[in-house]
Amino acid sequence: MRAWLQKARDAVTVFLPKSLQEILARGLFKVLLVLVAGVFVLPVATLSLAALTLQVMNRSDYAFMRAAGRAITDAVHEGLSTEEVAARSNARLDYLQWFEVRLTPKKRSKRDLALNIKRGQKVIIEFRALSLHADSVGCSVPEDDPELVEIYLGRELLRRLPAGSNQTIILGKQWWENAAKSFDDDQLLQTLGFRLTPEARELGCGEVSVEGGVQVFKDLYIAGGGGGV
Amino acid sequence: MTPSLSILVGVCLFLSTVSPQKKGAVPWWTVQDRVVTGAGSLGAHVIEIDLSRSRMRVASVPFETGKRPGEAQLNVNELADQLQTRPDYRLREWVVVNGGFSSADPDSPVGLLVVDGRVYSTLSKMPSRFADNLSPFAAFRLSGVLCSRGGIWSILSVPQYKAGTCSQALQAGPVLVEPGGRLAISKTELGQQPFLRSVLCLTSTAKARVVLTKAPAHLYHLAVWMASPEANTGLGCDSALNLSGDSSAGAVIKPLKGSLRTFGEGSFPIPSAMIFTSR
Repeated sequence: MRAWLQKARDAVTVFLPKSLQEILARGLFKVLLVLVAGVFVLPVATLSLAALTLQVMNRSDYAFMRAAGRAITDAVHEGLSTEEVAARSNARLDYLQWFEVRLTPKKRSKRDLALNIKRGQKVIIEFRALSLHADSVGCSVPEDDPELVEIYLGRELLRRLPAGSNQTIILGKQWWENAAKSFDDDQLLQTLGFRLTPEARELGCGEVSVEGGVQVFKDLYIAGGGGGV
Repeated sequence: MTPSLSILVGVCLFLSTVSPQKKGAVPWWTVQDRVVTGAGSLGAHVIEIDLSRSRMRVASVPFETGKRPGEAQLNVNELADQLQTRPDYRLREWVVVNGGFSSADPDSPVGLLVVDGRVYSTLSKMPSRFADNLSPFAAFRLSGVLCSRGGIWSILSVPQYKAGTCSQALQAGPVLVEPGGRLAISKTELGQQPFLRSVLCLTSTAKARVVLTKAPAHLYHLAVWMASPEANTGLGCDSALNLSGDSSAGAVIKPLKGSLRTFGEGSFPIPSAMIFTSR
């Protein structure tokens, strides 16, 4: 039997690549197996075991186990920047809404954009361009870079913006932890408001145009909930 | 009348009819077809304007035609047609060239636009994607400001511009040749897509040269050619500024006699233009 097995092994060896034949001839096969296990099999097995462990912890009946599981998961995601990568690939995008708003001091100093945001939902508001132009031949606009527009979510002032391009407002975990109590009414989350600043309203002429988009993600940052990424 | 007096009167009459022709014999604008050296067989129209014998001004296209931004949306050819109908332009020579870049509205400008001291649009400080050197002309996308101070035109960098100092100003870019004749575009631009181009060149001898390419061109090739001295078949520009290109690029000349002459495509609406008239 042993002789037959040896002959079978020799026959199979003929079909192996030359490098593998060399390794077998030198008696290094077991060393190769250990190396493959150490480099490929062990890390995958470890990660799988870690994922299984975290799954069990997150579903545990014990609150301290669930909290520990969440903390470990958050640390892993933060360390590996998985959120950043997912955001870049739009894998977690719920919806995207473009906007183009024109505001004038005299006739139209505020505009509202209807949204559909859940409490704690991650939102990125990008302002591709914000500019002030003359709207009549006799109009001359100021060059001292005043803040032009106030951006509101419901009644909550997010930011005051000057003219410029590629400005971003991110409603992430930290923002929701601080602002969640301001939104006891979900209706307030459904409006993105654009208001001319007091300085812009005092201009005798001119038009402010704001272009950009709102990205709403599936991520939910709710304090005390199952939340997080 | 004595014969000598008659001759004198005749000579005076002759001189009085020759003098205006002598003045008009050297036009304040010329057009040449040139080949951009170093760029294969790329051809370009070059409109040369003598700034010492002409007036140049920057115009907002909607306001020039009595409209508000968003109402007009005229390209350079349509603007020329409108100028033709105006009493102050119908009987004189003029040249109109496309100006700077548009925002979301084709006739709303991006970047600085100052007309007769009025600021119609403020300075853009949008950073350049290709800032691969430390020059102040490399840091911003619209890196040059064409500025008139005391009737003298120059091209400034964005950091050099000071509010209220230019009676006329138009921001565009990038700058191809920095003041002093220094090349301002790097070879990495050759990796970008070529487009039909409209470029304004200022020389050290008070001449403006408007270059309109006949085919899509790289800014690098144009910059090298424009910075080269005229003795080396270059254009001898002291400074040069890229204007809005592709289908916006165009110029129209209204000669004293004959119909309008158009150059470049000029089919897309423009927010601003440069208008040259004789003094």
